[in-house]
Amino acid sequence: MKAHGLTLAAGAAITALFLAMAVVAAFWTPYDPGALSIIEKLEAPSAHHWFGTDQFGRDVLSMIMAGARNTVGVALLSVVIGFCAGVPLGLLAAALSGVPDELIMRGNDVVFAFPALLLAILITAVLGPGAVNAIVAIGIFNIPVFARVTRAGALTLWTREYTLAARVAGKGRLRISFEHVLPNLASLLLVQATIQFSLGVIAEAGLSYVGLGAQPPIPSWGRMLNEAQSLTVLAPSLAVFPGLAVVLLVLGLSLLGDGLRGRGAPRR
Amino acid sequence: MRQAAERGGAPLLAIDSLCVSIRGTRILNDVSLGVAAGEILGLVGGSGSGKSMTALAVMRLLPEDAELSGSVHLEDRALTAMSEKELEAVRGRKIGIVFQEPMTALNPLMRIGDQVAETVRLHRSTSPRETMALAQQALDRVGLGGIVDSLNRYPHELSGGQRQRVAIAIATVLSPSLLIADEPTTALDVVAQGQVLDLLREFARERGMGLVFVSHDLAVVSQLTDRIAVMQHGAIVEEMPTRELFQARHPYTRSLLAAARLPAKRTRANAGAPVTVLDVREIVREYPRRRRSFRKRPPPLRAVDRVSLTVHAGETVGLVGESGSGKSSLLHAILALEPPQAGEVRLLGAEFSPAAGAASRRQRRSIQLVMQDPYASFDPRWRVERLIAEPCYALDSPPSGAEIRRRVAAALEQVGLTAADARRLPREFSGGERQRIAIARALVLEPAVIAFDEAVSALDVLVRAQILELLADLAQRLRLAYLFVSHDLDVVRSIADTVYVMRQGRIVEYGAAARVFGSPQHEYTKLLLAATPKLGGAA
Repeated sequence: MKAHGLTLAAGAAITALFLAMAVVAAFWTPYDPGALSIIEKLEAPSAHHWFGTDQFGRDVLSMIMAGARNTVGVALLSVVIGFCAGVPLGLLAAALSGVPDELIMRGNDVVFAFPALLLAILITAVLGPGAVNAIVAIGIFNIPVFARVTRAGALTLWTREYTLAARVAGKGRLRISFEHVLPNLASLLLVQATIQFSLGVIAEAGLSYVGLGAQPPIPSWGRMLNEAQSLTVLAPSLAVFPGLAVVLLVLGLSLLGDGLRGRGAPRR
Repeated sequence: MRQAAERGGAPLLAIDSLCVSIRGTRILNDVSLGVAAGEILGLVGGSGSGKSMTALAVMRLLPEDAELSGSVHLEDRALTAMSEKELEAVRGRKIGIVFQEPMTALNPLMRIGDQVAETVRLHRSTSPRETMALAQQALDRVGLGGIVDSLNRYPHELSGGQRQRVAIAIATVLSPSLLIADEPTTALDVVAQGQVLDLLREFARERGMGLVFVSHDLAVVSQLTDRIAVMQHGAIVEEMPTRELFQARHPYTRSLLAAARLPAKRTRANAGAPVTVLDVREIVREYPRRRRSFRKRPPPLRAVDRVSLTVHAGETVGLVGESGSGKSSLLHAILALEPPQAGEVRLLGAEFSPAAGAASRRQRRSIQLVMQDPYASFDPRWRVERLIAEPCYALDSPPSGAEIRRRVAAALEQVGLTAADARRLPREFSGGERQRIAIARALVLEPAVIAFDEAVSALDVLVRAQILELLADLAQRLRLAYLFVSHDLDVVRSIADTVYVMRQGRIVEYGAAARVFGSPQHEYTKLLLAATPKLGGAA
């Protein structure tokens, strides 16, 4: 359907914009995001500073771009952790069933029992604030999600007769999981990764907002929102830009996930 | 329509010059048909002939981008001219339809009483009590009255034959004038099929309901219908009263007849003493049952109860049984995919069990499997070459790329495909061609025995005949032994030297095919043979 194509295109475009911003920020930003310039503080958006400046005179656009690098980095790495640990667990649970399946699923349930953000706060409070620990905290929560989705998809595929054919050929269940099951789950897992990425963005913003994410001088959208809170009367635009950044990136990722899901229609 | 008018009865259903195109491709070409009240019309043809499309077109259930021209009249009302809302009033009330797959025809989350009642509620405003009374009546009418509390059962508690009866109940609860049945018995075993056919015949005769019966099985159609229309490539090529079926003149009809008449196998004289390739002794397969209370665990379900059978070199052994008889469990034990609870399997003299290790893997070279569903037997992402070469995993050392190509090409040629097909994906092939690829996969290691699990049951009658011919040819040329599992007695009769009849986990009769089919000893075998529709029987 045409709607799917549009969704996919829009989502891909928005996500690509932010990814490009994150990459570019590694090499260049209009101004140094950490450069203080009290003279220029709290300027409204203008030709010099497209997004204005904050209470310390830092260029907001540069901070947004550098913040993109932080957010994308944290969210992406947390998805990688969840994927690399969760998918093999899910495959194992589906292939072996019985006791290993029960153990893995109950372990998942234990992690699920904790509210996500609270778990992340707990971990960063124990291990200390910072981007790396934020990655670990969010990543830990991604593991059971991927494990559960993988297991559900794998169980469906195990009923297909081609897995039986592989067993008749003498292949073991683990080998079949990697040769047959995992490749056929690729589109499902890609969509899930996109969803977890967008959740990671929100989680990172949340952690930074309470001060447990990336620490200064690394800019982060969540912290920008926190700092803008007390200045809304003086400079409302300070809260708008980081907030908009979070919303747009999550929107782009959601559209991308929807578009990909629509594209992955099974062909017989 | 002309013929019904000739007979003097007003036509119940009149299809005139119906043409359907989907995205530019002609699906139905100038189809004209008529059905009178109380008459049973058979619509036959191979897959892709347009018979299901015709059935759907009557109810205007075609895909959205289908273009339709011509007319369909039901009792003088033009269905083709109606709006969707008017059609909704007709569907279910004036026309009922029964589809092929009983497993997916019912909503698994709704009780069957509610599903029948749903149709009533859509068309009539009766009180809830009256509605459920009608639903109970409908269920009793289709022979499900014997089930305790039938209204509150869920589909998963019923067998395939029972589910199909529920589908018939849903289709007939409001006594429609016309019933369309699209291959309703294809997915059922022989006994359930006989019961469903009897039921349909009763409805047509007693209620004066017109019945359009779509099928590719000429034997079934010849026993049930009054008239037959044969379709090919979206057009009707011949139409005749059923009793004149054997005088059919159109070449396509004659080819359908020839394919439906599978000749019994001629037994060849055995040269020399028979070598046993597969020896199955006293296999028992049990499945633990769920513990319902905290006290003792219920006894396990015995799916296979001390079954023994032997397959000799070059011999085709047929294993006949209904669904639920334990055939698949037995096959899994024979293929050493699951360990049996008792008994043993000896392949080429050596014990064959699912123990891991190189020895067991080496043994797998001697026995291969061809499965039923040509659409699910292949990983959709793998190309044909890789699929056919997969059994080579059982070889001691992985063969080189050139060796693989050679083996795959040889296997493809043997099944009537070309070496160039190795580079294509399975979805580019038809059902029959995919079964050939499955057979090539079974041949690539030159096994001693090939097991077939309902391998031709999903194919239409013409393709089935071709595949059976191929299998007979291969068996003779390559001196292969076959273990052919099927619920279709005609198929087994045409291919097997020895037959085993299985029922509820036990072998009830076995022996040379000619003897078992010619003079069956066990009651069950006699029942199966009696229930099998024969070509040429009149309704």
